[in-house]
Amino acid sequence: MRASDQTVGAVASVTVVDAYASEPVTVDVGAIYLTIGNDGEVADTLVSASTPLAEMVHLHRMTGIGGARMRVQEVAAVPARGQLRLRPGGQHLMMMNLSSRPTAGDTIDLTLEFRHAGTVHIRVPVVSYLDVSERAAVGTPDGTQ
Amino acid sequence: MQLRWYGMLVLALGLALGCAPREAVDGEAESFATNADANPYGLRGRVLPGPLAKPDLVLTDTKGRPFDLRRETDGYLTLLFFGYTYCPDICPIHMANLAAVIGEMAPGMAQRIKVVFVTTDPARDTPERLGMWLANFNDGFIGLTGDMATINAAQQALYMPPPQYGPADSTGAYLVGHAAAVVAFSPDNLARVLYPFGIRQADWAHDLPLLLEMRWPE
Repeated sequence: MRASDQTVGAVASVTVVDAYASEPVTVDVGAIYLTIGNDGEVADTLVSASTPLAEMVHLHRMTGIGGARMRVQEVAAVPARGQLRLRPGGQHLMMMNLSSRPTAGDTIDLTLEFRHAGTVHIRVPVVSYLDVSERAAVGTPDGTQ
Repeated sequence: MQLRWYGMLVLALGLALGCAPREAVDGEAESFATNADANPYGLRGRVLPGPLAKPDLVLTDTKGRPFDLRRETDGYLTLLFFGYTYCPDICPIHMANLAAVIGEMAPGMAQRIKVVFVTTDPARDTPERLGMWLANFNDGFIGLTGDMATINAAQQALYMPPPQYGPADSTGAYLVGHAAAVVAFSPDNLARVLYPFGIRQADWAHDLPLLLEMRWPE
């Protein structure tokens, strides 16, 4: 989905595609994955994300030796003429303390705040973990391309 | 000789564990399917250069009862994973994949497999919570907790890095870093194969029947 379809005039060159959320096992945590494209000549930054479904949304990143080591990031860079990919085993948006447990087929309203492009609203489909698993193996380790 | 073997083992584990997230996103060219040619057994998992003993420990199951890991899983193809229930993707994806594949197997084969999930977050993962979380996938999966020293000993026995705990956020939630691979033990209680994150249902469906029939060299 082109972000400009959602927030006309505010988004410059940022597009958000391939967004999906895993069906949460508990109301404590849920992960969202997506790809942010930047057609512009200037790098942008994802500074925050929020959803009515969750008390807060963090950006998490798997790093380093030793498997699923994770770190909370403050912001994420979207390179000029490039992409930021959040995907299983790499980076993801972590919803914390959900008000309910969405199931596969539901959608989640998500608001992304970019430093330059401003606010982008998207609707994120919820998929089963089996679907998440099948999507897990494409891309580059650090999410940027 | 002994030293050299040890070095090879550390190398193999280090690659399998350390690069699990990387492998998960390296693309189709690095698919586990291509790994089938890399070992003489035709397995898509990473065969260890030498077997490792199953940790000989007593943990606590989801009913709060003592669980002697080696004794209770002796004679079964045992799939051991260390994780936690607040885990966003690696843990539930491994469990969902295993549940789907084992659920499709003939009962006679599925009954010869035990899936064991040991928490790396005993402070939050009570036996009850572990049991409820695992039941989302398969109510036959075994959830274990215990004191940190025992859990760490289990991981150390398999050359896995100890869990790492991130700082708590304003809700009190925190992240736990942990090894991302499932360890497969043959029925004689020896670890044989690692399944890093990125392994898919098709890979499990390929390997589990082979593992059940595998005759490993002495």
